Amino acid sequence: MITLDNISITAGTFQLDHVSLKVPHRHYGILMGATGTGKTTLLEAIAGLIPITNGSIILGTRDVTSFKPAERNIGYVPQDGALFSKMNVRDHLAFSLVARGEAPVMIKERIDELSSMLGLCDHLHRGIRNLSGGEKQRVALGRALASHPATLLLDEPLSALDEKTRNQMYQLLRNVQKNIPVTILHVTHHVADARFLADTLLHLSPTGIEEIKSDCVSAWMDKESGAPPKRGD
Amino acid sequence: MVSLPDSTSPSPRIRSDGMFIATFSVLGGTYVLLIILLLVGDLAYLLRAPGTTEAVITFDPLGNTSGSVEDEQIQRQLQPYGMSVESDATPRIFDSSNPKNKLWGSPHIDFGGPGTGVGGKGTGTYANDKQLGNILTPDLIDDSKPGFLRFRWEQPVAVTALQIFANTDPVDIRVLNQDHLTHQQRTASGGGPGSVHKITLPGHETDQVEIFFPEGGGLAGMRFSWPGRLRADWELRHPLLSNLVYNPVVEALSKPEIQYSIALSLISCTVTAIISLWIAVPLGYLLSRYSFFGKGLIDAILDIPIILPPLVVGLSLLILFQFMPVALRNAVVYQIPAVILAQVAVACAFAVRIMKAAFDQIDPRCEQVALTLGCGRASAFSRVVLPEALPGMLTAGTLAWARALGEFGPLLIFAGATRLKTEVLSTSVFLELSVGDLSAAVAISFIMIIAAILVLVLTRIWGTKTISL
Repeated sequence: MITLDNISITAGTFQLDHVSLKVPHRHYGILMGATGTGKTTLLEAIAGLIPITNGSIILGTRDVTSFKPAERNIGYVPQDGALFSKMNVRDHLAFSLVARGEAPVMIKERIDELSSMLGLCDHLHRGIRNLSGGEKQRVALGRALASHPATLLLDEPLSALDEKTRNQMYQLLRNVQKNIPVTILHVTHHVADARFLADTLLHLSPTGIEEIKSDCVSAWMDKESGAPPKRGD
Repeated sequence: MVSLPDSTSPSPRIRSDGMFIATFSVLGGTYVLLIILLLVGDLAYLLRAPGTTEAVITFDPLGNTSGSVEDEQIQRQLQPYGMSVESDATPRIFDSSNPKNKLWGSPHIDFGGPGTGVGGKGTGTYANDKQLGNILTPDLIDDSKPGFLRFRWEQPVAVTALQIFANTDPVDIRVLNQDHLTHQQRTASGGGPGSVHKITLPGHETDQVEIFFPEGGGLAGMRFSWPGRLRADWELRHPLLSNLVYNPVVEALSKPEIQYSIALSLISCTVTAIISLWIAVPLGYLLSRYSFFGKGLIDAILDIPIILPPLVVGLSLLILFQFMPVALRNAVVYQIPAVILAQVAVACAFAVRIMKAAFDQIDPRCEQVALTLGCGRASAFSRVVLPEALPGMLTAGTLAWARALGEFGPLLIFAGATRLKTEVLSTSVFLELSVGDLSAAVAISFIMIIAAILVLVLTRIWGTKTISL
């Protein structure tokens, strides 16, 4: 469960005041909002990367407001993946386990497990530069999931993918959510992401976060995506 | 899609327009050409000028059979120096230690100064006990007949001394300078037959020297410096190999002062590069990642060593150490630590600039991710940022190294230019130039050019592709 209770964030000139949200346990939460409303900032605050000035952040049953990022038991996939250019795929999957000092046997087991789940078995030795967009996102996802986080934070993970890859990723994310006991908060401005993935749909606007109730999700989505202009108009 | 530092995306090609490109190429290419010409010029100079050697010619190696040494043998002795001799008759060798003429012989040891005393066998006043050895004469047949010797050189030389053997009348010397002015000099009147005159000449560049003997005489010896050296037989057969073995660079390398200066340069530059990195990595990181009060000021302060005249940096260091405890001052100023300190003072500023640019190019998100993955601040830095910054560090280190190698002004003032103590390569160039040894100066410059090019290549291959100074 992810709970934000009345938090305020000041980052430079950007200000986010008195925001609350709740994503139930093992739900796939989608946070939507226009560019510049502070979606990424909010995600970074949950990850503990930027301080909050007010309120509290509760992950599961723990109040992690004052915790360091490493102690929050989260997996974080930033906007462009932010892969480490000098490491290969295996190093990425092993990173958090090595950082936490896991035994080599455990690490190997986990790498096998993750790589088969994410379809990366044949790519373990490859460098990052020559991976495709979808492969990079799968590596970033695997890296975030390696240490069994209870919370997964995804920042626009699909925004730069082509249509086909994007659909494959939808399937993959669904499988992840089904097989792994993890609560996901996925930030996006694509209505399609919400349509295919959301258990809980949240909308961030300058006035705050509103939860779109499941019975009006369809209508809201139609309203949000708007009608494309007809050809010939 | 993931924009990684160092990823070189191909820049879009722009359609070229002949005239436009040509104009720009000429404007920019001139400078590139200048750089290439500078290097080629140095190299050409080194290959052309194998240094200047001092030559002393006596005619003793030709044997002491008086009168029998013919023109051909004399020319053969002179030929390796690129010189030849002619006279109004046939130049011959006269053996002063075994004279057969009635008047001449080895002069007496009392002929200390030029033109005094009388020597000679037979009629001479004094004993023939000053060994002049062989003497070159215009013509031996009649030792009181006027005559001249004319020496010509293929390449200009600087004649500095002549030892003339003459009769009573003064001998005239004419040096045809390269600038077409003639230097005339006359010996003092001889005290009698067989007087000896040691003539010192100003050493102008010349390719012709004429000596007029009004009543016979000859040349016992000659000293000149010439742009070359005597070559062994194998060298004449393999001139290329000879140039490789004997050239100013090898000559410079064989001098103990230069070996010391190379060693000190290598060590001090390496230490400087390490110290610079030690400072530049944390400072560059702070400047790149954080904004804090006074950041602009610090940024500006870091430019000071770059824009300050180098001499002023040295002077400021010197002044600073006037305020230090005496023991520290004595340990640093004009000592090896001063060399390193002066180098660090300037080189580090460049390293900081590059490291800041290198950290700027590393996505801060990578570190953030590492933090969420269980790393602390320090381990995120060492495990994620440092590996990514490695090419930048190599660039910063090598450029600091190269800067340190070229450092001169601050060194001269703060560390001095003492041979075998604080002499580094740039100081060596200065010292060699100041004693007029141009080819040694160029040779050391060439060693520095090679080192600099090596560093440049290293940086281009393994360093960051996107930052350069």
